[in-house]
Amino acid sequence: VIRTSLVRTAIVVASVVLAGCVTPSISMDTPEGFAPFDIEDTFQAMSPEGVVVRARTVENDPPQTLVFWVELLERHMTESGYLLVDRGDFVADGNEGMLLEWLAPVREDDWIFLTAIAVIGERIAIVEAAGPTDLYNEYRSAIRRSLATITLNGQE
Amino acid sequence: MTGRRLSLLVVLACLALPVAAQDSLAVSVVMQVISSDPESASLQAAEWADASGGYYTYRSEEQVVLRLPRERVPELRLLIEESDNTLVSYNPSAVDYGEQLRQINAAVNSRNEALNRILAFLETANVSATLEFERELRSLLQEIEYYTGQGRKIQNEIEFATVTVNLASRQSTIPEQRPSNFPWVTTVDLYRFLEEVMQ
Repeated sequence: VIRTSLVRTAIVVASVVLAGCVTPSISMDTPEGFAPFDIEDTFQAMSPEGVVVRARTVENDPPQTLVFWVELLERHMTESGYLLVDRGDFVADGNEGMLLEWLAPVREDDWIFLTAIAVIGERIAIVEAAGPTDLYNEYRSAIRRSLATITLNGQE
Repeated sequence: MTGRRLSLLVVLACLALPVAAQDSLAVSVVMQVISSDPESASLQAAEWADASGGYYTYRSEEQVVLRLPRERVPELRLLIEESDNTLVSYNPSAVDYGEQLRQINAAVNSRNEALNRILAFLETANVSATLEFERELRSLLQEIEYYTGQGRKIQNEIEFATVTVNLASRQSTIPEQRPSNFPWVTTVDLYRFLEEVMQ
């Protein structure tokens, strides 16, 4: 029983170590005031108060333009019941990106949910961030600045 | 002649441009506010502007545009933050009218000097020259009025900040997770995101 338990523990530890060694397919500068932590194939960061940021990539399939995906996402989010409160653009790794900020309730609070996308080569970089409105507002500029530093790893 | 000259001088004195170009920034602020009662919030903002020495230029339940003495703008922000409303964004900006004010001042001054020269000539002018001078005087006065008006408009922009408050209704219902024909779009959802990053 002890041996089985040890083996299981070793497997779990090895998995965690290996997971930690995986280089995420996307990286970006950690927004000022955040602490980064990579989970699997994503970049994630959190502020001390719990405002969170995540960057990930998906395949640009079917291949489409940024404008197409932004229109689609905006319609999808609006129809789902999110309230669009701001939009903007940015340049990441030489590619144009667009951000949309949404408002939605979480328990008793109004939260802001950032969705930013950029089409980079054959992939779409997606950055999400969220926090209670007053806290998010404190980090808004830092988060937006970091969008310009999005880089896809292993991308030629 | 003396009476006419006197009346011209009175007009010139009235048109003197109140340009003290020490502070030439015109401030604008755009705020996004979420309220459970946007109509009431809009009315409150307009009434507060009136009571604070300002006024409103547009009001609906979606937007209210206020002109406020600029020193009162931080108070409005505080008022919104301390109310039940949620201040989603606050974007200030400023335009420097210093150069424009200097140009207007220079234009008014040069025309005033021309007026004074003509008034001096009028003392000794004959009838036909006087008629010509009067035409010139009218033209100069019109130009001075135009520049003075421009100057006052800019002064008003500087003294009164333009505050645009965009209002939206607070949502009480949680957005639903709708499927999309494109799988990654389905994954973009606040509640799903929070579940995944907070686990």
